[in-house]
Amino acid sequence: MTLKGHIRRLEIENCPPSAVEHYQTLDAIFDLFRLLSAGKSDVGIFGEDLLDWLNRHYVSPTSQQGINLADQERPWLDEDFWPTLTKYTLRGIIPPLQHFLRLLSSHPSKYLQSLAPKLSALLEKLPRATTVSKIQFQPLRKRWLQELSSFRSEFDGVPQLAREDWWAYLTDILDVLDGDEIVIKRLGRDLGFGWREIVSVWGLWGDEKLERDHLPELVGGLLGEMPPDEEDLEEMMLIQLFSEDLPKALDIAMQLDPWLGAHLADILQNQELLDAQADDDTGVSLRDQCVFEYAESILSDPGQWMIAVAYMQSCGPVGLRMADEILLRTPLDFDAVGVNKDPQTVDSRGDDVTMDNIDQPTVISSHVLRLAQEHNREWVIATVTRIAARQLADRGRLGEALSYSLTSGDRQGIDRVVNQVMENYLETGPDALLKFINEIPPSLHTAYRHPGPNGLHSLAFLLNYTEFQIHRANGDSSKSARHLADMFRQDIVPTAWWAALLVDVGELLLDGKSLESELHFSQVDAYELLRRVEEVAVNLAEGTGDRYLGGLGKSLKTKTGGEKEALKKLELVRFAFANYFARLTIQGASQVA
Amino acid sequence: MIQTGLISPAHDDLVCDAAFDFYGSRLATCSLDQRIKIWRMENEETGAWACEDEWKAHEAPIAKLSWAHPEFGAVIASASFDRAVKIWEQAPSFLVEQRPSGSGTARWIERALLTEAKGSVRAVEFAPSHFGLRLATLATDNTLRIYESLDQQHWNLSDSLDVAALPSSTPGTPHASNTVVATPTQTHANLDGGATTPTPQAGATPGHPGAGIKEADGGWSLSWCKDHYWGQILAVSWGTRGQVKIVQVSTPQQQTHTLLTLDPFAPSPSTDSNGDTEPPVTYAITSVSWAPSCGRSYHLIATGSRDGHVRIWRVRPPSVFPKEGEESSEKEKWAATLVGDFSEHRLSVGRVEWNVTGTILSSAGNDGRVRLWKATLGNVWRSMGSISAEQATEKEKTGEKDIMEE
Repeated sequence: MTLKGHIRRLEIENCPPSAVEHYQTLDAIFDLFRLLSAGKSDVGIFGEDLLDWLNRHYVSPTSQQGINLADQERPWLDEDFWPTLTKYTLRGIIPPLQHFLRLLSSHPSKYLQSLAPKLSALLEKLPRATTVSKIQFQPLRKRWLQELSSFRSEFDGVPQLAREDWWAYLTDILDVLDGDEIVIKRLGRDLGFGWREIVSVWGLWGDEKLERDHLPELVGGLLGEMPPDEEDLEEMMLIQLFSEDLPKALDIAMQLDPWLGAHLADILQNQELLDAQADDDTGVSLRDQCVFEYAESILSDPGQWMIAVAYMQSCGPVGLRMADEILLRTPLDFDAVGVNKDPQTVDSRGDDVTMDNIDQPTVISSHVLRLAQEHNREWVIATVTRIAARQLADRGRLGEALSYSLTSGDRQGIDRVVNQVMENYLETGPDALLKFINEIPPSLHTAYRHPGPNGLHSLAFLLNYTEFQIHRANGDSSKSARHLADMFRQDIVPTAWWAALLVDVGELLLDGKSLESELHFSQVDAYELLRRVEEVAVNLAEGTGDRYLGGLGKSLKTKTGGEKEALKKLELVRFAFANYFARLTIQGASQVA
Repeated sequence: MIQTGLISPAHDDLVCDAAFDFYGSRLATCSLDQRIKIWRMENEETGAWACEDEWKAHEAPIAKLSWAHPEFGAVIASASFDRAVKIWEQAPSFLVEQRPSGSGTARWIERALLTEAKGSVRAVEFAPSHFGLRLATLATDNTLRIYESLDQQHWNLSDSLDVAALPSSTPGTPHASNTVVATPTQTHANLDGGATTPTPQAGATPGHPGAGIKEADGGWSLSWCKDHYWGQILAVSWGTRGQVKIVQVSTPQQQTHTLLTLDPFAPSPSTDSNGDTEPPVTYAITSVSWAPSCGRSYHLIATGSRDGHVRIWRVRPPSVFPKEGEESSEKEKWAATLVGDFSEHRLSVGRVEWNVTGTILSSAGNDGRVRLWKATLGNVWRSMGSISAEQATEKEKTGEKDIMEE
């Protein structure tokens, strides 16, 4: 929204006058800045532009004042009449001036009755730089002044006795039209004008060749005669703009309103009027400092934080780091519903897929992600994703936590989820595994069941172990057995879970009551599994078997380390193997036979 | 600035510390009543906070709290006058049973009890998360201890050193002592004739730390450097000496050593020393805060002191890219300048803390006011205003306007 639009909105919404005035002040300052930084203009134009600026932003006389006078039958009797006409003259507001001059044709004085309309007609011909071509302007103005001179001769011919109050006022007005500098200043003071008004009307009456370059000297001189109110930031701001003291102007602008300072500084730097180099002391440019301050000032508004961050991100490396801190601290929304997409681009053979294809996170604000991505702040995204994964895991939303950990490549997070799921399994049984599997997209099962070059063994183990439990629940002992054997062969069973899974193997070995029951493990697999059983058992016996006992130890829930109980279980597994090899031998013999 | 919330009463006794979590959505408080309380904002519109959990945490008043980075979960460290530091972790919410009274579902588990300190532990702060889960503590035995944990279950003491005994500079540096004295670029002396002026510590012999010091007169505080580029660095202050040592924690290449000492009370080198000069009067530093640097080429460290002063030091690390004409010895040194020295609080300053971008400093003093400090465009530090900590009805008594009226 533009500044003018904002002011209109404030007025419509009946905001306090002070708020409206504040933004009107900013608007006036910004307009002046634009005017002063525009390119060189033709003769007379700059003066007219400056006058136009004054009349737009500092209206005087007001429309109401004009109407009050016009409504009267004999307005010249009002004490405000002549001061108002003088103001119209000084400020180059000619039409109402003409109107009131024509009204004076009803004035009691016969001299004024004829002179005033003549003056009005003369003013009709006043050449303005805005209405005539630049070539014609000066000659026309010269000719007009000659006509004014003729009028003055007639005016000066009014007999002394006939000269009432009106004669002195009109003299002043004619002196202004003639460009009398002393009178212009005197009248300005008398009417309560300050240096601002005088400098703005100067280009019309005092010096129609007024240029921007003349302003510092002109303003300096006026300030000597009309000292400013140094407590008035608006006034001081205008002085600095006219005087072209940009650093000071910025300092005051920041005090007036950081918005003003920030935008002025930005424009000044773009126009190369401000040094874009980082200051040795602060390490940032003046423009960046102003923009930081503005951004910080709006940060506390909950509806504006994104704008604040965007501003900060425009302030070089330091600004980006500051914005990072804000992005990192944007709260996560755990009530947001996650969208589990099943990306079609995932390789069904389980080869590596890119992290981007995992479901779109929603716990993290989309604004945070967008603002971070726009400026390649990968570390912010990774950190926020890691935090989200952690907090989701703490809330029991393990499927989502896994997705986030995969997205950020956070191995610790992945391991944490796996461990928590396995803990849940130990507490509540295989249902915990099934619940978890249902929370993650099928594409993940396929993508991560083989560790692959990225080596996510813990996740591969979890996915495969869950599959094993599913087969087991379905009563499919063959598949279960094959699965277990595969897991050991591919080396994806963590050491801490060897003992537990070997106990599962033992149960499968003893599956089937008779010697004719199906043999689920091949001989090669059986030998390999037995070798592992021996390794664990030997270590347990020697007291170094702790590392194999993670899962089994917890499931045994013993007060001691659980080694004794584990050894007993493994003895049963050994027995099962003995039994199994016997069956294998018998089956082999019967085949030969 | 307006007060948006009030928790009253928060504890049964003096509140010693209040620490927001990473997001500012929860507040942990600790007290002389030996309890920790966790508060959460219930209603943003009314600014009401509700107690989520509370428990008796120590056997003596608790001095300080620190939240770990949220990537480690909800973890708090507490430091107490019972000489212990405890690490607390919030149990995963889905494992916590509902309390019968419905008063809250949070539960905090004591994960570690660290009892190496031989005095009250007065300062505790988690290191930047880049260094993993790591904690620094400082006790009145003047010992800085660094602990670390790899699995969040077990904590090990990885470093322990007597900061008072640590030399002020690293041996072998070109200058005898790399101590920066206060040659302030900006000083605001603002002592009113009638106001109470701070006095040197009763019972303490000025300039001789360690002799006759009462714990009540001293200050123990630490703050981590938030940047990880230079390794693990801390600002530490202890006792009544009023100095801050910038300490680099040991690496495989080098033992823990002092990079720089900030001392506003040391006599400046230019004063004539006739050998009979009295040692300077020193005041304990109650609080140290290291600003996040956000990529700036310099660091800011703030201190609050019992002399009522808030000081801001600008610390420059060694040049990565030495400037033309800079001697090689210069480029390897840490250097500091005092860029702000404010005495508006007039009475002891209890706490200083930076905002997350390191651009605004807040300080709290015994004058009952919270003051804010910010640098101007010309990089001159000045007051931004102050807020009364007293109730609104009492405002007239202070005679000082709040920021919202400025």
